[in-house]
Amino acid sequence: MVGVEFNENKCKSPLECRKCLEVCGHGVLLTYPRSNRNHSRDAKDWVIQPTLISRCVGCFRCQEVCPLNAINISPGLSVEELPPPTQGFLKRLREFWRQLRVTIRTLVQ
Amino acid sequence: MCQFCRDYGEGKKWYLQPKNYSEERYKEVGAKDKIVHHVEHFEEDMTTGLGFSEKLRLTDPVTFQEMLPMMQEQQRKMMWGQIILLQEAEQILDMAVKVFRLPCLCRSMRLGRSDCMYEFGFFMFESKDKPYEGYPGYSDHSSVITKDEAKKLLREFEEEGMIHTVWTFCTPYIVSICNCTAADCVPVKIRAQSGMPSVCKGEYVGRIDLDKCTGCRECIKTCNFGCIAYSTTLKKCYIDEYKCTGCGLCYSRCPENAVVLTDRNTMPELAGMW
Repeated sequence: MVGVEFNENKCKSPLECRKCLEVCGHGVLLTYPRSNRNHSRDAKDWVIQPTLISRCVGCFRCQEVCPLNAINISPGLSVEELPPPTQGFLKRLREFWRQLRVTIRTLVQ
Repeated sequence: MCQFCRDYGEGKKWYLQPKNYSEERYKEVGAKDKIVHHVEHFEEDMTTGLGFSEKLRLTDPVTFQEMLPMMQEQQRKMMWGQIILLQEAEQILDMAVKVFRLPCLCRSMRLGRSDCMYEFGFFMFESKDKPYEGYPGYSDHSSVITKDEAKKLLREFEEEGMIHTVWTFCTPYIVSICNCTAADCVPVKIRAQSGMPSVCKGEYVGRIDLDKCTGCRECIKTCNFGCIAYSTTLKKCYIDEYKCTGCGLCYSRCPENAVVLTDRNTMPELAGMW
């Protein structure tokens, strides 16, 4: 499988550039705004996240097209070698579990 | 019969039941606040959920398989869609009092663009609310349009090769009709590329009348799910009914009217495949 690494610090304005999003035919990269966007659509507030990573074929097009070298593709990665989840991911994971618990509780009731 | 028709449609097509669009339903489930909140956090929630399930699928497939029904159940409660025909989309628009043209949330997540105006929101009752109120950039692009304009646009989208889907927020309240393609839209893409049931198949299955088929391959060009094959020996096209989602694109595109749409429930092997 292919490891997709996205450096959020290097990517300055995902919504103005969008090159990697448009070039990816498999929808591996998805974009979302960080929380507290206060009904604004500030381009700086958005983040690109490699989401559907199992769909990546390793064509390197997003890496080639990125003007700021924010994307790093490492092919031939085994599942054990997956990078550990980042802090942001863990935070969102906790939030997801919280929501799941609430849903299960309401379902049970 | 699908789960939705049983639970919300009294055995008939659930998306043609006026009660799933009614004011009572809108108020009853506290839908307004939930919809505003959900729309506001749409991309974030979806990316988190998809990223989580993908990581889990790769690192721990056993747990993933155990959790999959639960995750799908949660998704169904929150937001779910089904593929419908153009004619049915027009029927739904006929019932509406007010129609809005809205930006597609899924393309916003996938392509980072808020100007993809492929979605129709509607109210079947008099209301001052706006659908997708919490969505940033709402006022920039969206507009109120007439039913005839909406129908004309639907037909244009069909010409361009988009399939029509109904979407609920806070099931069973139906908020919108969206026009999707397998290249742009995340649920349709997942359905087309990996076969995961991220969006329900339609109520119909297409079949080609082989006496009428001339082998022009127009249907193959238009199918988003790649379920039509061409026989070079017989010079005819064949639909794979197991894969067919009943979107009706080949039905409207075929110059010989060779495609027949049959009810999925009348075919024993396909009746339970959503």
